[in-house]
Amino acid sequence: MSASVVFATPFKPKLKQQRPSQWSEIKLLEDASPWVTGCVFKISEFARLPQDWDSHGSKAVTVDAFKMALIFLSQSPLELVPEPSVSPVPGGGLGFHWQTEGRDLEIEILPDGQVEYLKTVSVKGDVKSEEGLLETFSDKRLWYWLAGELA
Amino acid sequence: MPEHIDAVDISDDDILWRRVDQSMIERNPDGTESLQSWAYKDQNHELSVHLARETTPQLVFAAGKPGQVLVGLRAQIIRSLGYKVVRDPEPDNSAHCLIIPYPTNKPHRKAMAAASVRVKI
Repeated sequence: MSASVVFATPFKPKLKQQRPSQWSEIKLLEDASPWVTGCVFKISEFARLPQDWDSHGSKAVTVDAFKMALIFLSQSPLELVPEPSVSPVPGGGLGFHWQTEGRDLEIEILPDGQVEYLKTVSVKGDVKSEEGLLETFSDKRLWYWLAGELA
Repeated sequence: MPEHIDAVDISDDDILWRRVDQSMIERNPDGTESLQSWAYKDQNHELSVHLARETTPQLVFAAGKPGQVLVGLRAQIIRSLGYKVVRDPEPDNSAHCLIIPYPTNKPHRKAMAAASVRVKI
């Protein structure tokens, strides 16, 4: 006697679509700028801050902001720049701040993972600012600007 | 919606204090200190400050968190950027004020931060 099985819906096994690449570049912490390890430690500490850490009702640092901060640190050409100051940002973000002679750069990781920058330059008391969205981390122009090599 | 009135009894020379996390202040090689612009950012878009001459650091810190510091800013800086200093007294804190409207403009927040100094206690 032969048994037959009828599926309620046709059984059509699908092969998983091949992803463009299974591999991503791994950057070892020991290969990064010496200060990057310290930054990773600091943002990990900030990511553990509770709600209302600023006493003004801020959300805790979001997972999206924390992940993007790590991506920022791993993908940016930070060997070009000195150690930044790092801090949590009210609302659930994280911030990096560099200051060189007359030039000031703030990178703000927003709670949703978007990254914004604010460049401020002061020449003889005249302050000029430029802000924008940072969409790629490999672009070196921001860092050359900070080093004074770009206007 | 009530109209927010710039407090006439708060002069341009009055100092306003704000509690900020100490990680938002960094020491520069020349010994000066810099405050990051997000010190003037707020989750609820209500920027709280305290009129220095009507309070004490202890009272301002009473509602704060460990590791916070006080920074001071002249009212004139806030007004010169187009904002009002509006009284917003709380039951136990008549010195409480708000900067209105909430500064969404990053360069404005940076200008406030650049003009702020840490209050030595």
